[in-house]
Amino acid sequence: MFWHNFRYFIKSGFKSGNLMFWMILFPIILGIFFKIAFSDIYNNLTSTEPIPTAIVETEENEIFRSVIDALNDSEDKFLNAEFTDENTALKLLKNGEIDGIIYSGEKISLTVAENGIEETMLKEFIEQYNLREKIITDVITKDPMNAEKVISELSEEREIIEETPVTHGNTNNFDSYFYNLIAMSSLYGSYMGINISTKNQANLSTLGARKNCSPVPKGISLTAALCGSFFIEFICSVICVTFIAFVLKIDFGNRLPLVYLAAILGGFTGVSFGFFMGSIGNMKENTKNGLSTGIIMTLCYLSGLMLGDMKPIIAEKAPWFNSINPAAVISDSIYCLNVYDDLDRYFTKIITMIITILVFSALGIIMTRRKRYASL
Amino acid sequence: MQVFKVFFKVLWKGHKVPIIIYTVIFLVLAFMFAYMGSDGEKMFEQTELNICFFDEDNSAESRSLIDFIGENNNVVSLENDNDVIIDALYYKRVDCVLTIKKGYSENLASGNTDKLFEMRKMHSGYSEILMDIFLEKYISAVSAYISAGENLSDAVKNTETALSEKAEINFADFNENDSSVNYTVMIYFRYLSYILLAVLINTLSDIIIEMNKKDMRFRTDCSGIRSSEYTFLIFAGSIVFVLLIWFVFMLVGMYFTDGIYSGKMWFAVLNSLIFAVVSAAIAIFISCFSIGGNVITFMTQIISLGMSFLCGVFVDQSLLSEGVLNASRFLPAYWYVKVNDIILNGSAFDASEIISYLFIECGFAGVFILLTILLRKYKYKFS
Repeated sequence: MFWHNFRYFIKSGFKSGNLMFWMILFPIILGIFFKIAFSDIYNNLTSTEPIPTAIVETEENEIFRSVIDALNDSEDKFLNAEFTDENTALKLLKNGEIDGIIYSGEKISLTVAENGIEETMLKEFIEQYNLREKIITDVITKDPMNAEKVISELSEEREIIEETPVTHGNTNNFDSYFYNLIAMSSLYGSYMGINISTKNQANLSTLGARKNCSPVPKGISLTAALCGSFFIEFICSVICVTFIAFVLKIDFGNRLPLVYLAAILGGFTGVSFGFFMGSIGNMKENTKNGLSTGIIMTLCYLSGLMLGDMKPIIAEKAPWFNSINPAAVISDSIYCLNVYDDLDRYFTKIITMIITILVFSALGIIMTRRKRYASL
Repeated sequence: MQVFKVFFKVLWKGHKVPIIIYTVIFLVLAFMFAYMGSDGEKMFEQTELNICFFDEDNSAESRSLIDFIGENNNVVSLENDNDVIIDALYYKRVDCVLTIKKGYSENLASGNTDKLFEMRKMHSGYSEILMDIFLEKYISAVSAYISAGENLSDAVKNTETALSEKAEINFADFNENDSSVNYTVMIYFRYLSYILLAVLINTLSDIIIEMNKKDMRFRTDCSGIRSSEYTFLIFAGSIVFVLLIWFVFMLVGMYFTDGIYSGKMWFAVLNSLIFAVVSAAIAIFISCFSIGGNVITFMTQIISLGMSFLCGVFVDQSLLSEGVLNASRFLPAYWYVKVNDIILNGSAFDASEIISYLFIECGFAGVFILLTILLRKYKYKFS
């Protein structure tokens, strides 16, 4: 009887268009949109193209011109400077084709149209020039004999910073949207969990009423339904991760099997959460689904599905919440795999998921069992 | 008039709760989106970096450097644990994690400036270069003063005094004559395209499908009312409904402008009205297919999210790839966002360009209306 119930639950699950849309199609579609929108952002934000700048000479300044010429000739230049007249420069600035205009004369000044890091770098550049000029003037005023030494110190190439990479993993922080997408898709398994509860409670559905008066023990039909939904969720999670990893080509490093494990356990967490939700109260299935959607979307919002910054904000204000928010636990487990070298934190998350599955399933069973109805 | 009244009866009886819920949820979202960005300032403001220091030298000079950098940046304290640092860098809570190595002051005094700092890095970018330029500027200035015969503490003091002299920076505000346009309201208008699409497709399609259901349609067909009059009244009902929804969003938008719209904002208002019509035309086109409520929900998600991601509603068009932008030219939201960007970026304001884009949007509405008429005729012929 267990296998009969198990088989029919799986059949009806895969035939439900609504469930399949939300659990398979919707994450895939959203994943495609994420890929379209985010694929170039990380590269754009981390690329350091030379900053387009116009130089307008209000007066002759040979030294500044030679600095700009030297900068333009250097290989790792951060400035792409072009000498032009003021009107052209203003037009270019207005059209956003350059980030700033440097006026070179007796004094060096800068004109910008926006606030940003490029503009701040231009400011740093002219301040660096002004600083050198000031130091040389100061020294020459005090003791001209030191001028040569000072100029040599100021123009010396230095390597004052030693750079150490903190991780060898995937550092593209826009990929965290995909981790959260997997978390959302896993938690959508709650619709199946709610379906199990309502379809087994005589006061909530006609199917539940029929099942309650059938000779099959409730324990068997419930266990079969739970196992069936775990099986469906297993398939959905595998499809979701496979699509994200192999079609959208999101880099999960060389630990892909562990990503599958996290997504599958995440899916089971979603089912058990739904099973627990479905067991509470006498609300209709649609109402419970609506409530579940609200809760899942809030949890996903707090783990960074809509706004990537949310998780670190929560980590700062209420770190305990990230440890119990199922969406944050699932997405965090995949994040850990991608950026940490060791697996300690990953396994902590996995254990958290297993405990959550056991607790929600147990609560759901306790609340659903031994219910008798005098009349319906 | 009967059909017109029935349209609103169906709307009120079966759809008032979803319409109110959708409108409220989307208004909350719109507020969130609008307040996520900050308003552009009219004067130059230096970008402040979030920097975490680990001072292994702990000397007067190293502390002085941290204090000096902290004057124009945010100094963030973190636990010196690799996992904590990875998290902070990954989520950009800090831009740089800089360790001032032991022996910093001694090495600086002796002129050995090689690898005085360790920078733990994750993402490359301008922040790193900015920090690099600053430190290079600072160290070379201190070294120059030392080479001129000053001791370390005087050299540091003189460097910091010299560095405190700010450059002359002017802010060219090309949009200064129009104070009606602000960043927040334009972000609200940008996200409005997603909201209008989602609300109108979800509700209007459902209402029209309900009106076209066998029972109601057959009752109407055997009444005295002409088919063309029926279509006209359905269109009239849809127009009034669309205008009502659009008007609510315009009223809310006024919250961000502190009163009635003015200046260039009227272009944004007109743009949103045309886009509401385009959204309604898409909704009516979808209703030609006899689909259930669930399928409408799916289509709403796909069309509204898809158009928003592809056309630059959720992500700036400037950050999208050339290929995506080329494809999105065939979608109305692309032109809607373009108009919005021109209004926001007052520097390149060109009314004739805006008008041509508005005509393109009208063209999309026309195409969908034409397709709807053709499809209906085709269905009527073969039914």
